[in-house]
Amino acid sequence: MEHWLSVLSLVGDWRVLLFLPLGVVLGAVVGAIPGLTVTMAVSILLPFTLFLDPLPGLVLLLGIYKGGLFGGSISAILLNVPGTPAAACTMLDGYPLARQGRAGEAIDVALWASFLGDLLSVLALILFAGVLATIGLRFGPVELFALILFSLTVIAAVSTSGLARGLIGGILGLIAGTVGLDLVYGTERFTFGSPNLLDGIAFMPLLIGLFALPDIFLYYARGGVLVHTKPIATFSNLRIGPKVLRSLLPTIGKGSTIGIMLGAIPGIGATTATFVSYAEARRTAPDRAKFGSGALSGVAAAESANSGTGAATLIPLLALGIPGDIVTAMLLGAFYFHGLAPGPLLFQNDLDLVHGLYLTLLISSAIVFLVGRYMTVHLQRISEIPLDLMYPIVISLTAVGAFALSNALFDVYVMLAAGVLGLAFKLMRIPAAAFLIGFVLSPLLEDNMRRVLLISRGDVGAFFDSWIALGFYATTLGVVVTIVARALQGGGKRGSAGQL
Amino acid sequence: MERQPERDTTRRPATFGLTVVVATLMAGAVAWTSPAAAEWPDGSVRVIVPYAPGGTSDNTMRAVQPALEEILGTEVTIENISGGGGTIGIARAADQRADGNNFGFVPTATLTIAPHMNTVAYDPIDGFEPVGRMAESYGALAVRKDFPADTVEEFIAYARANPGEVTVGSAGIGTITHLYSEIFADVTDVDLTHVPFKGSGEAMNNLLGGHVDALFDPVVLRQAQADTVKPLAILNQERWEGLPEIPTMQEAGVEGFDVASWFGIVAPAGTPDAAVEGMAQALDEALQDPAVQERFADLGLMPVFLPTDDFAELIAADHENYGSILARVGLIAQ
Amino acid sequence: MQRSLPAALAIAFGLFLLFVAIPAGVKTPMHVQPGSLGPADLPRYLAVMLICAGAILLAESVLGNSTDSGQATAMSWRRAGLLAGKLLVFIIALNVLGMVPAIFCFVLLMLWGSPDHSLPKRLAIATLFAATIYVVFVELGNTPLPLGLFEQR
Repeated sequence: MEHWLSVLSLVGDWRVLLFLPLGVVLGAVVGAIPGLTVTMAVSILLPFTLFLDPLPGLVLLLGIYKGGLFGGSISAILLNVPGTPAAACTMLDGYPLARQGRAGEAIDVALWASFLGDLLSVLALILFAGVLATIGLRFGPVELFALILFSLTVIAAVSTSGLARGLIGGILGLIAGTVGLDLVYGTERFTFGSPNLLDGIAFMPLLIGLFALPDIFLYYARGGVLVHTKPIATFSNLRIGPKVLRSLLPTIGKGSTIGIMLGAIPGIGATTATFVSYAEARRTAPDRAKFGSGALSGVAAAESANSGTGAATLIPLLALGIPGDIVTAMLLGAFYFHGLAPGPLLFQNDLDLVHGLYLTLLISSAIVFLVGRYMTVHLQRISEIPLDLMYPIVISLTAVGAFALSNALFDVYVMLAAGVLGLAFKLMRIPAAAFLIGFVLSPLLEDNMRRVLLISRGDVGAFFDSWIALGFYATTLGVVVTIVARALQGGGKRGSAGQL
Repeated sequence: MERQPERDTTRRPATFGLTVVVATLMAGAVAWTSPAAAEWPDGSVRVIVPYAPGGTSDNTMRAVQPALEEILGTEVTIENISGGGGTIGIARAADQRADGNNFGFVPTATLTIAPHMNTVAYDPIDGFEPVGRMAESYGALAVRKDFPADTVEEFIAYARANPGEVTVGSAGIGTITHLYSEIFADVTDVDLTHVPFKGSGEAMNNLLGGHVDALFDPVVLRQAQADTVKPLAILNQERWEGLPEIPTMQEAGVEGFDVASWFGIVAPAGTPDAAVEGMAQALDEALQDPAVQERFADLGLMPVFLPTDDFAELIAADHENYGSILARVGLIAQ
Repeated sequence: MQRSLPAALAIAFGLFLLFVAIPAGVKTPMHVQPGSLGPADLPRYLAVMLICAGAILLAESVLGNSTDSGQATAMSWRRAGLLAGKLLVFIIALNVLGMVPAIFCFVLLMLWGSPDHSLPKRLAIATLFAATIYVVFVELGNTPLPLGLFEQR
């Protein structure tokens, strides 16, 4: 078809073929450095891309984004420092695997899950962009509220040491999420006069502090002895075998689907999608007993959902001109800058460009896959660096990263404080992931709840005014009942089977 | 400095004294000629944009950046410091050295709206030297496609008949899009329900999905062109070429709807006049560059330059005007 | 003991929120639209839920359900204090010296007790690392790092 020939010629442009791998490698390197995040990489490199022509410029940006996602996972698995919020979920099982000397397997699973997730989501993009965009539009405040309520049940999935502790963590997270300016009235909540808190507690410093620092602190507090002292780098387990891969395919498939669906709804974001996928895998994966202490399915679920979201967030962007998260917001700006207008008109006027973009997405995904596999051998060496050398470097880098995101030393303090909090959680066995989920979902929950009440002017019945919402309520109820039943049951016999 | 008595005994006091005098004179001479405001610009110029890259503000500044660089003959770097709805970056801009090399990019809200609503770390009037306004943003009032009104008059009539039922989205509390709706409700005496979202994108999404009824925002322009929403009126003083049949608010019979979303440059208070004037002039020139004008048209902006003094007046007037509107609606900080 | 501490803390914090933090930290607007949530409402509900969750945990510990495999995460408080001290030095250095020198001091400080590296090696590592940070971020990345008291204002 003439159209596809035109697309191929666009993609075959030498600049595209050059900038794509370049972008991927750049993004991966930046993302893999602990403390540096994809957002940072994109925001630093975005101005440079503006001087290029539209397709190469955007392709470079996309490559950086994809590479950055991968790099963030590497950092999460090997160093326990998530490079992206979504990588926090990968970390839950990825790092324990690395500690057990199975880093290679974890990275391989992450690569496969990412690649296959991307494949599925690009297919969805090409085939269903319009439909998905329409479905996304159906999610107004009522539906979103119901969805978020459902997502809260994920807290149970990460409560590896009992539901009560998980609830405490989750509620604390929800409370922490209320810090900042009130949505409707604009008044300050818990800011105590600090302008740095007007937007709430900075997310990335909180994330890194909460997840990465406690282990580091504990290491020093124990005089330099790791708890699980299995040496990390045994190069024997570099790849997963085809049988293992096949067993992971259902998880990957489901994860991608969840990522695509949630990614197409603007405003939800990859973090929520990865945790929902994780929770779902927790329910059904064959190795679910090992979740939290090194389950390959956990990594697969997180990564596939992450990829699914990644491509899917482009749907509202391209089809409607509405960015789904901060990175796509930057992409949107870049689009405008190049004189392209995402939205219905883009699909009418520049369809070949759109498909060219999809194709490059796919190619970038393949590049990440190849680069990743090749690099795994070398990457494992990172875990060989003596910890007492590594840790000060990690702390310093994360401090720089925390500062650089918003140019505020305050965020460095946030990170360190989050580290102390994370340490306290660890000592009291409160799951930090529960806190994170609560924190991420808190504004979404409250904002949409209030919007519903505003629109209906106080009529609580409005919450039940939508089939989609009712469906989610029902599912939530079902999940809650199951959770509570298991908790009460497991109270009698604690053992591996009784774990939630 | 460490004394080295062995060496010093060989020096003669007179030579030593002479050296000191000459050195002092030379140092004085260097300090004297050290550029206070010798020639502006004397180095690269820095503009703080208080929003993330890729947003409207950032895009606007980047649209003029190349032209400015050419005119000024020096590098113009953009620094993005986002947060607090623009207030954090602007506070930082106010804090910079007033040496003529630091500037800030301001949209309307940061100087005229935000300071009323919350305590901000800068003085919107005295903390800055206004340099010039560079653009005004086009905007429109649009309603969802199946809303029972096709003109502004019908909209007003419907709103009057159903007080409080018509929902209007906005990009957030205290944004210019929010204020558009408050002022409209004020001058037309209707009771609208304001539903704040986080950003224009989310608001637009909800309008498209039919979850809110109306939206006052630049972002509706493109959607209106694609016929996914119904535009009722343009919010500016003149019509927009992209939708030539849509009347302005004034044409549609709404009196007193005088609010504009503008973008401008300011400098920290105390910046030397040479720098302020130089930048203002460069801005004026840049806005006449056809490439810049084309970019602005793409972004939905009117390149309307307003010189320093007029800009200062505009800021002061808007600051007062919006202050009283916010007070009326009860959004003033306590 | 394992459970009663977090439980007690949760309950205490919840009460603290309800009676201290929320009244102090949440500014109430001049009028709240009827039927909608005021700014303080959700935090209040959450505080109550926190107390409940703490109570559940307390109940669990009291009812003596078989212990969670409690491998005590033992740690030496002395060492923890030492670490806290080093971090404090870092923070102070950040404010006084700026980021790059602070990192240099911090890395040096942290490598202090390390047996595998000699002093010259430690200095080299610290210098190299701090210099790399400077080059990568300030020069290449165009992101200014704080200069502490040397900050040009």
